[in-house]
Amino acid sequence: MDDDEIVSLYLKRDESAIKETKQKYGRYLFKIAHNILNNIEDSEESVNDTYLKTWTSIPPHQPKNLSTYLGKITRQLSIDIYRTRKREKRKSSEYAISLTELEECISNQHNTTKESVDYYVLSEAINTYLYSLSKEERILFVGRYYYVDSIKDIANYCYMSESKVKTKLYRIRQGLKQYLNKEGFDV
Amino acid sequence: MNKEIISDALNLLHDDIIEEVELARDFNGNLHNNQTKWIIITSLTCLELLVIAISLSLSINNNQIVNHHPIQKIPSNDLKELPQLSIGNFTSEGNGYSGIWVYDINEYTNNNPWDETMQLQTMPVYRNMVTTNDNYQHLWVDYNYMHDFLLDTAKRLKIDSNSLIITNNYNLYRPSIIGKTDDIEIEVSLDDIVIHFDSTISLPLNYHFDDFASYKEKRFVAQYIKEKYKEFINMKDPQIDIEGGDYNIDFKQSYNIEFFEVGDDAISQIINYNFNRIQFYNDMIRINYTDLSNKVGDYPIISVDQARELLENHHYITNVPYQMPGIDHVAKVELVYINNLYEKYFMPYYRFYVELPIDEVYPGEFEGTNMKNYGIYYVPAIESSYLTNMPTYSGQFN
Repeated sequence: MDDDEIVSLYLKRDESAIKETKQKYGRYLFKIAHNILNNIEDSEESVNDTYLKTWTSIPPHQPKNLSTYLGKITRQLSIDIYRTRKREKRKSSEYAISLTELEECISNQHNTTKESVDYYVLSEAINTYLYSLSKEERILFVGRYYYVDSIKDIANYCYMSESKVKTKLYRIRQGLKQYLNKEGFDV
Repeated sequence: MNKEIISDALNLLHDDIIEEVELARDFNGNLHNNQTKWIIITSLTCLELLVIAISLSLSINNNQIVNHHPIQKIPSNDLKELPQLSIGNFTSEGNGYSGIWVYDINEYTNNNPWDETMQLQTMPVYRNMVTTNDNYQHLWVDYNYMHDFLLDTAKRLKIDSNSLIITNNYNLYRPSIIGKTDDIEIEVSLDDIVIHFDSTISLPLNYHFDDFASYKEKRFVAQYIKEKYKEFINMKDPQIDIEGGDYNIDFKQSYNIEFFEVGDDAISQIINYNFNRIQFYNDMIRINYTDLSNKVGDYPIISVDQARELLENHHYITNVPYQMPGIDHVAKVELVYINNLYEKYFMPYYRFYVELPIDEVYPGEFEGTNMKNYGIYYVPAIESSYLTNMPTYSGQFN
């Protein structure tokens, strides 16, 4: 079933929409969740919550790209779960490692509270920065820090050695830091 | 600002950026080979190849080289006993699609031993011995077996097993066991062994083995490897396969060096080409070792013309996001096996390369060029009466 048909089922409040979503995107969403959580049960919970959130958000939303829409929900829900369970002793996930890398984009970690940050403005700045990069660099950055893919996976789909991926990501992070600084963000 | 804030802000990335990456994540992974995601190397400019391995009289176990005989007449009693086969959805590895970019389909080359004149009537089908749960997770992995395999590989590399630092990689999707020394990393997965070399040694000056070396240059290097490292390749009659010729997103053309056993007959050659290969990159070697120990039987296959009819009637599997545009768009066909860990059976398919309407695929990338994009469509080669679920394209992606 194509995406338009699935979205149409949601709009009609037809519960088979969830079944179709699960069949088509279940594995894709589970991978996103598992990259972040590194835990089967939590990942399944995140994906199931994604279906629920999708059910309650379409309508009013009518996503043009269902996979992107679902992926964003799963990513955020998984990060929420990750934070909730952060204190529990557990194996580190790719997300934890990627966060450590993102630390290099900032030097002033505590001067700005979360509440004072306008996420939309920050996100627009990151989008603008990404548009300034080559396509290859965008794929590397978004693959690593949005999809939380492992360096090895990225090396596979970018046709690079792992060391090259790491080197390029380092440069992209440094570039982002400089760009955000230039744009007046307290990094 | 803290790192979590940046991470959260990424959830507001523009959809077009995410879509671009979604496509690339799978598209690039499948660009050269839709069966497994190869590890492709780019970093080193000078080959180090077997550097270490070379001196090593390594005997790689290209196991399961199957000796079959072309079957011209099929005993009807045998056919009755053949179990029905189910077809999986091997295109659902990710959320992109399979295709190649070339100016002309003839630029894309490989040494697939199959050709239309072979008149094959049957081909063997094997049961995949690797199993997963419904979420495609490998929960029942025999790490002891992989550990033994690792030690065996190290031994063949003449590496003292005591010098190996061994770790189990409990990745649910791609479990493996890794052995490392200062110079070499051996990773044994469920269907391959990958050997990485950290130190570098240059090839003789006139050899070029960087990622974008030409076909001639790669063939030159392949011949050198074939002769110099015969013992390492460990094949009775290794056949060179220079695979590739398609272009990456930066419009750079690349080829891969592979070897496969020639085999005693046409069918064993096809099996070896699909399952028993060694691939050489500039800092890595990859060896296939698919377990073909459980042969289900020799199944009748259809002709290319019959497969074309099925293709025209939309009985195909693809993750190309649109319907096959028409039989006159078919530029090339091959017979291949889908060597995918998530398939229940390894069976032959006709792989059709179909020219796609470029402006619907990558308008930005192709604008102002003569680059063509060929999507890959698979038609089962096994006669439909032996299939429980002949695929029919229903307008859906994946």
